[in-house]
Amino acid sequence: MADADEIRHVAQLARIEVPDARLPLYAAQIARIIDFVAQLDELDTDQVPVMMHASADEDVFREDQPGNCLDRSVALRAARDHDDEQIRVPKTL
Amino acid sequence: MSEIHDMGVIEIAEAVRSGKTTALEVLEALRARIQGHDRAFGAFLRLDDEALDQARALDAAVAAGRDPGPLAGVPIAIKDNIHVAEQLTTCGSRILEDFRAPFEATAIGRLRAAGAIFIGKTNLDEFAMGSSTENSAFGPTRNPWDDGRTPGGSSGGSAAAVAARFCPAALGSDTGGSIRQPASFCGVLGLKPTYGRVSRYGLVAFGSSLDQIGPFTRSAADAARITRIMAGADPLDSTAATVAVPDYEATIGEGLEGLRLGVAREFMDDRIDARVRQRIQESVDAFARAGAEIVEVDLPHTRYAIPTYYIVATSEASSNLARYDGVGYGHRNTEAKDILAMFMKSRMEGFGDEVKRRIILGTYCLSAGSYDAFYDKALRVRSLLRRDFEQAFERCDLVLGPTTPTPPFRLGEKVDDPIAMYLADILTASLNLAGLPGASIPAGFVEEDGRRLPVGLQVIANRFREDLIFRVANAHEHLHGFAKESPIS
Repeated sequence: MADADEIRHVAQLARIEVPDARLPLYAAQIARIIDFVAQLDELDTDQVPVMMHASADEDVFREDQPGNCLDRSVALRAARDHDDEQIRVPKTL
Repeated sequence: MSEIHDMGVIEIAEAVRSGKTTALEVLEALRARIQGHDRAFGAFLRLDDEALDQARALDAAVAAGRDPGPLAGVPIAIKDNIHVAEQLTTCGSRILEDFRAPFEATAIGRLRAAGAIFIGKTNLDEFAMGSSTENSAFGPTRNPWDDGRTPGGSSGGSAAAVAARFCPAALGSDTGGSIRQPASFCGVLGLKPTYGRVSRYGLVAFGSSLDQIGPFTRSAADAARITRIMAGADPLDSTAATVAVPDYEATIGEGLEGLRLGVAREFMDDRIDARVRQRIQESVDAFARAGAEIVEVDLPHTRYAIPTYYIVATSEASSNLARYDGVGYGHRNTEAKDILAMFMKSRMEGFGDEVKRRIILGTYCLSAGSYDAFYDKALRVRSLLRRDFEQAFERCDLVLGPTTPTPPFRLGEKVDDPIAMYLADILTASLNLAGLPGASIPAGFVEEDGRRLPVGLQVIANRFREDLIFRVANAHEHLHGFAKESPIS
């Protein structure tokens, strides 16, 4: 099931670099967890509906009315870098 | 008046409101206690100096004759994955080490408006992923009853802080047991409310269909007051329920007469430490003597709760934690040559092992070829777990059992064995999957190596019946009063 190559591939999908030295440990631990969770196969669930959420109601939507939003100077304080008006980020496209 | 550190939420609020003491006096006494004792336990990541200004402002309001609110001057510690405006929110992670919250959680805003003082932020397993508070990037928290043992987790700092009488109350978050399990290990009351009872706005997301904010206190009435203030609909969280919030304090003293309490057979089998089962049985027997009717109920899918939980929670986490990419905020690797390498190195450096393991596992469960076998399967078993409880609640008003299968375990004991650690939540995770409220309440001690180690009784109610949990917890307190005992002088 989850061998080192597969874990390297999934880690790539998850955008996490796994150093070669850590790979065998991660692969072994994740393989054990996958074996463990596979015990759900004991249950026949073909006729059972999926449960996505535990919400009491359907989603509760508010009226679409303008209100106060985050102050720009406060928002900029959380950013790594900014030019006093906008958050400056590395080129991503 | 009792010593300040022994005072509860309501006691402090009444003393401040009536002028018997001031918010500043209470805060300074508790800060001094934390500064004197917390080096040994590591419950707090940092104290908030702005709390002093908050306390002075509250005292000025009292002096001017204004109503300071039902939590006047009550210092509350906050798990460091809940935003207090302008304060750091690290989530116990290097990736958010210097992140300052630009906005405030709805629950915090409501407590603030009620007069609460935010004394500081408490330690946690990184991003609330763990059951021992050993996964924090800033070092572990130790159990005040035995500093060689864990306080549980992930809200271990909050539980330890209330147990050590560093504050009368604290907030935690519970995704699979992260309030109830540490409450059990530390001998305090911890409540996970019904999913949707308390807004999740401003709680850093881990498993969005499972997460809830809840209180730690040393009495049921204190938890009832805090829960009522935090609860209710919120335009900023579409999953916050519009169900009316009852006055829990008004019904808390109604006793056990007429209540039918179900003991879950699967929570009392031989996988559970015999000493723990004995303490729980003693509490059940006391409830029967006090007028409750006791019935046995079955939760037949209990053993599938942990495998189901680890698929659902890690899948949701892999999506929620995708936002920590080093771009807008948080840790960024500055040596990477291209954007993909920047993402991957930032996340490798910023996250600890358990968080990485869970993100990779969740990504695996959601990936093409695995989705049906894992994620879809788990969502179907989730229905079965909910159905177990629906059937149990046809026969009783509340379900009882232990909170944890063992007393607190030792630091390091499970840290290299993820599955052993996950099984610490075997009695708690099914409630999150089903969306139900549950509390752990102190139910005495077991002796080990000459130490007294706390045991927690879990009280589970149907959705939005926190009122019944508070009633039973309050009755239990009057029968036993375990939370009156302190691990440190």
